[in-house]
Amino acid sequence: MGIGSNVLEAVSSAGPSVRSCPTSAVPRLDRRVALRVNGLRKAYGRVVAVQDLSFEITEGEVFGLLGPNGAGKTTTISMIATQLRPTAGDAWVFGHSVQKETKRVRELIGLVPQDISLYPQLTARENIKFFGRMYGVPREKLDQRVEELLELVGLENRQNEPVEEFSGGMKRRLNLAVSLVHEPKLVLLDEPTVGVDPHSREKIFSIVRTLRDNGTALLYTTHYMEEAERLCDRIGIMDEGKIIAMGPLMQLLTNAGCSEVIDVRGLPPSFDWKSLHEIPGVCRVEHFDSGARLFVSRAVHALTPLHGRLARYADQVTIEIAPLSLENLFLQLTGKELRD
Amino acid sequence: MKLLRVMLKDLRLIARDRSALASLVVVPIIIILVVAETQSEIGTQSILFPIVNEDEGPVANALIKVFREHLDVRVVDRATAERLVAVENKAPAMLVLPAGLSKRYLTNKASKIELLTDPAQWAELQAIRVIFLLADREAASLGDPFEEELLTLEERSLTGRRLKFTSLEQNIPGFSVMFVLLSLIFSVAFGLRDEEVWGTTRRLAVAPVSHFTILGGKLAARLIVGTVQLLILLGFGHWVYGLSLGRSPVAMVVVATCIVFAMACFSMIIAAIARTREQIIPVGLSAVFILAALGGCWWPFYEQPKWMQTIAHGLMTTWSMFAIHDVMLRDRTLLEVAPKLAILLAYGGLSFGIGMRLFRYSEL
Repeated sequence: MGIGSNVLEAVSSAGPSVRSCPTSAVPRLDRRVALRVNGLRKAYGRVVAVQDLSFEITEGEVFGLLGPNGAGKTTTISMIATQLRPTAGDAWVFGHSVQKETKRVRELIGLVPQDISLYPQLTARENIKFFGRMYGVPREKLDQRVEELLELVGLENRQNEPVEEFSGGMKRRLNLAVSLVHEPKLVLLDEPTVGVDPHSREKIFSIVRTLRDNGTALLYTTHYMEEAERLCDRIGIMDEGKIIAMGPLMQLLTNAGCSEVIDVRGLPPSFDWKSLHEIPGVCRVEHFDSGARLFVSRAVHALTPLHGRLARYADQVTIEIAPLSLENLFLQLTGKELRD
Repeated sequence: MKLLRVMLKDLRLIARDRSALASLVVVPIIIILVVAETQSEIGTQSILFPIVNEDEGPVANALIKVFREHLDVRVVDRATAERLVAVENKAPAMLVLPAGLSKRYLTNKASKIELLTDPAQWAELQAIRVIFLLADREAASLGDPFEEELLTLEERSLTGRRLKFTSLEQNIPGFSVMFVLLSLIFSVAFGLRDEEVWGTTRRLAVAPVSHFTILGGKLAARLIVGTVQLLILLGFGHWVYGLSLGRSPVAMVVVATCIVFAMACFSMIIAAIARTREQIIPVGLSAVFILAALGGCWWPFYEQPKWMQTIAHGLMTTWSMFAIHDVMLRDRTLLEVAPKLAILLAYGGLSFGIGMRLFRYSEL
């Protein structure tokens, strides 16, 4: 189910709370804060990759960091994962500072790196086992854990084959399994579905939901709108190292003040673009080659005045109305396409 | 035309890695300089030759005068001479001119002079033997002290059972050490780079294991492989060419382990310096060639000019060859070779520490 149908559903009934969010096995009131990020900043000389980031994730919650490439998502994850030292601020995993209690934090987190991070000559089983040992999983428990994970990611039949013979999707699934070997309380997923086939993507989604339902906290970075919409309980929209909007998806869309988007195409270059700003209820206008995108509070109120301005071009113009999506929201907030 | 484009693209790629590009020329030049410098000072004046003059008569003085023209003669007491030859191995041989030599010679009675040697320094010893022949001729004009009936030379080893060694006994251990070093440098450097390519570096960086554990574990694997490799190569020399492996197999295993430990740890520094795959080959090769040449793997250590010997005392290959020669050629025990092994271990420990500093997995 995409965002469009969700929004339509929300508009036609009671409002933002209509969006269905699967709930975690951990009762909301009992949930602890798994990750608290406060004023996190990373600078390389004059280049500031991440600036003053603050957010929290509780147990049984999927928090999505959505942003284009270069927004600072991986840098953020690297700081939380104790790989990079923050220039300022700190993050706490279940109350343990990533800078001061590095070893304890590493025991609590599981990182799913953006790139495949596996030994290609080792088998799937050997990879999981090796990293299990690195995380100190007891020998008597490790074999059982390996079996569980191989089953979870659907690789039980290929467990004794070297990873280099796996498809991209299989490697991605194993990449996830390896990160879960020590049953981390907080899982950091850095664009875990990049370049995977639909089957593997669905499998990864299913695993993420299972983890969340079991009370694991998940930080999920992506630049795929659909993933953020389908998986995340709350979303932080990141651009140029900052979170520019944060909250549950419906709240973000509601706060934007615009619920719909009108796409107008087929206008000549001589068209008076400024006249579109004067239409009542228009929050923002994005002008492109032969058309414009209008962010409006209610399309039905904007259609009559818009029609008046487009009357001369009626034969060549097409109009499309759609509910505000996350992609459009990002465009509205930053003026950029998410995949720039 | 497309061929030209491909060529231009490749030239551009090559030009971007300036360190690798520079080392294409710099490395061979350094090697040529080292070889040329070593080969240019082929003379005997630098060979230390202690003489114990217990005679102090005219015949002894005449002999010393002749040797001074060819060798770096030091007239010392017996203990000092023995220390220089047998303990410090700074001199390949010592000559003992016994008390009463002149008196016996002048009364036409035969005398025996002793040449006490360190056969492990076979090249220098060979030079001394040649000088003895030369001195025989030159001394004729000074009163013919080498006349066979009156003076006889008795040669005895101070450091082992055998009097002579062949060049194979220099070359086989030397090249074995060099190839093990070569394998270690490339396997450690490429191994660490491979982990970056596979992405496992990042995974290990955030695992609750120390930096020491990760790098120590990797080096331990290389230590085992390298030690087995070195022992197989030396064993090959033993079985095929009759190379002596000394009296104690345990000592040889321990020596090989210490040598490989120092070299494996040193490889980490090379891995940290050479940041790209293109840099590993020139940087690694230059390190191997320089260490092998100066350390006495290519030619006897004492054939090098003094200044090069001084520098070489700071290199692990030098101490590796010293330790191997001590066990193989001088029949020394583990205890006797322990100081050299301690130097190798210290070298390895220091290199590991530097490597740890240079090769960091995470900032925290």
